[in-house]
Amino acid sequence: MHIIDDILRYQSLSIVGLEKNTGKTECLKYVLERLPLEHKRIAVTSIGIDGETTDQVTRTQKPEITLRQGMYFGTSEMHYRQRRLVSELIDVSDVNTSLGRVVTARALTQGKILLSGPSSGPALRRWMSDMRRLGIDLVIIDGALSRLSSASPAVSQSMILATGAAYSANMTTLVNKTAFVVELINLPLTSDDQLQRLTPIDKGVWAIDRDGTLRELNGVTALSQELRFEGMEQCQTLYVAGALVDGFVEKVRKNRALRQVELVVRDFTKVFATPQQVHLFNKCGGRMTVLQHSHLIAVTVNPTSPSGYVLDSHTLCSRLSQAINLPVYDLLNE
Amino acid sequence: MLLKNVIDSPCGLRFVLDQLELQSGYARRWLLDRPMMTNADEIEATYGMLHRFVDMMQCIDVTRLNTLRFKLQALKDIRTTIANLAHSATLDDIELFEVKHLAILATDVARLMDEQGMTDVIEIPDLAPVITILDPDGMKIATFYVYDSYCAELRELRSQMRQHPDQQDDLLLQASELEEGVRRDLSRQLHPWAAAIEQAQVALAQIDVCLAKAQQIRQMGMCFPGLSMTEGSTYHAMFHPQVREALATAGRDFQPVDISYGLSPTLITGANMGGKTVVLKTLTLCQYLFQFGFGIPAAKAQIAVKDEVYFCIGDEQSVERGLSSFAAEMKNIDRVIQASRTDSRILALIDEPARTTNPTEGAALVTALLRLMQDRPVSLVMTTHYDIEPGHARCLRVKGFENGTMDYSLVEVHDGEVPHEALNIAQSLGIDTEWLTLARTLLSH
Repeated sequence: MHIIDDILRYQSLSIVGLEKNTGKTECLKYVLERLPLEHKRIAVTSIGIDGETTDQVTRTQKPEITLRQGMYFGTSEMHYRQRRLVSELIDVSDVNTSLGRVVTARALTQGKILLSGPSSGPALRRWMSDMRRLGIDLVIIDGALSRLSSASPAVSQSMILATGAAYSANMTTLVNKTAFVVELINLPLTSDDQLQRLTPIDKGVWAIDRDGTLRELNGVTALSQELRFEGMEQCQTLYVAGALVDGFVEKVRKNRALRQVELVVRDFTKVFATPQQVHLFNKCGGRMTVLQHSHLIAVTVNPTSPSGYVLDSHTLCSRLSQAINLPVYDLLNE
Repeated sequence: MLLKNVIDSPCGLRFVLDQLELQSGYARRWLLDRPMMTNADEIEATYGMLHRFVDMMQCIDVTRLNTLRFKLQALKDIRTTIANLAHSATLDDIELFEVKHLAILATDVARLMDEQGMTDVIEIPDLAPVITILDPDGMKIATFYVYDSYCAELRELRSQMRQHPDQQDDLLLQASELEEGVRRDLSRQLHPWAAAIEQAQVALAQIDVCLAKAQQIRQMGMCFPGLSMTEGSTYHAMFHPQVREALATAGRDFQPVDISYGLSPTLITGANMGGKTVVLKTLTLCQYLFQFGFGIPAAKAQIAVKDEVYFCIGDEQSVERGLSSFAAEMKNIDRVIQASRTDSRILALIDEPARTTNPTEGAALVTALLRLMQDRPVSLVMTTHYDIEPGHARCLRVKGFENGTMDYSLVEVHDGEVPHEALNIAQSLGIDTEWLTLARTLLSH
């Protein structure tokens, strides 16, 4: 399957699920079973809810992952001690989790391990740069339940999104909701020039005028209720460094001067606006772009919801695939 | 008295520590746990060691120095593991990894130090036997697991595991018992090395600290102090690093100061904004730096060893402790007086005592304090604005405003008379003329 070839083109991959039971772990297993290990060094870790040994929502044991001989992995001291494989310790890091420090090891036999890696974005990035120093070619991150931030382009270059009946049992809703997330993930990059100017800015709301002047809009925060734009006639681009919410998008849309504006956000994980607002904004002539882009490799579906409801796998795959213009896989029923 | 107990002294010690470029977190913790040295020989030995590092840094090539620093970054705090080993506990894989990692690191650093001819400066115990125990295949890399070579039976089980993944759970169980036996055996073999491993860890921290101190001496233009043979200290061109940096940011220069003091009290007078408090701060800072073995921010210094250092600065945190500023100050000075009744060698630096009370009683308190301290083993350096009878005290005065600029140098004067420049200085600050004119009128009556 092309997924694997696609994955190998990047140095990092995160696998995230839109909801519990959307088949994220199945997807991880699928990938781990098929990656070629002859010429590639592959490391896997997870970003989990801190201290989670059993799932906080369903009270079920977190699944153990089967690793193949030669794979590298990062997990907490506690889960390392409970490993069910023979492995060689490579590093004990300073990255702490509530289950102890994150240790890195290489599997010497096939076997099972509970993954509980760094629990914050910066710690994960630190661990990943350690991996690069160790000569690892590809890092795979088991993302957290409904925490898309672990798939942020700041962390990983590529991603696989798992969705399914657990996210919504109504096929139309499921397709629309998933398509919206995909739409955000696929937001285009802004121009090189703006990329360079805006990337270093990590807070505030900024405007770039037609003559190229970059100015901070004082007193405007993307969250404030009493948002008022004045003197925006010359404004060509608006940049929101933090979270982008509904109210802001609506105010921008309703401002005549900002009809054709380019609205830049850092990456798709910063968009908290609803599909309705985003689509209205686009319809009125606005355009959304990002500073960092993560490559979406595929979407996988689990047509079975935990309550037992089953959607038709074939119909779901084809409808979703049509909506997002990307391959969609049902890994269980392949 | 540990370094961590005095690091937040208002003299600015934390600033100097924060400027140290330490490579490992463990070295910082180790440094903060150092006791203040009060033994002259120990202080001399510490500076002797530091001298060797400064010399080394002058001739070492940059790549080697960076390699050494990079190695030291890998130094981890494994005190818990060492303690377990010393108590004959069986170490787990992670702990055995830590021991091996440290042993290899210590050997690497020892080799680098040897190349620089520094083996006699800080002794790093030879941990080669520890490496041999934990590296049965002689791979010389800092990774660890219970190697197949430790036990033939284990090797067999693992090869079966690879051939029959379906029986893995059973085989793993059998293997884990064998592994535990190996770990028990390894821990027994390592047990006698616990002390040497700990010593190696400390030696690496010490090297990290010495490198950082030596670097700081060069960067800040600090000096190596001489040991004073009397109870007094002398400084030439002394400066306060933090104040100097703040001034530099504002585009101004710090004017270094010469000062000396002995056992009889020293009284510093001078105009407001004349840098009197900064002098006391710097003296305190230098004393601590000296007794913790750092470079001294001066061109030249002869410093006397003290058992206790007291720095009493007017309004320190009195409000937080629920005391009035006067009460807090009195209590602080009281501690100095109580300590002066013992045999301890004391340095007391007191900034404008009794300044918050009425001048009549204030002056009386200050005069009495001078007289009281005169014959005690206390080096007292005190600033004041009060006109007092100095008695046997030595009087220093800030030169003060001359031709519109402030001269911060200290000159010896033979009376305790204080300068009357407050109004001129206020005027130069652009303070309300009506107020100042009225004050002048009142003064002339």
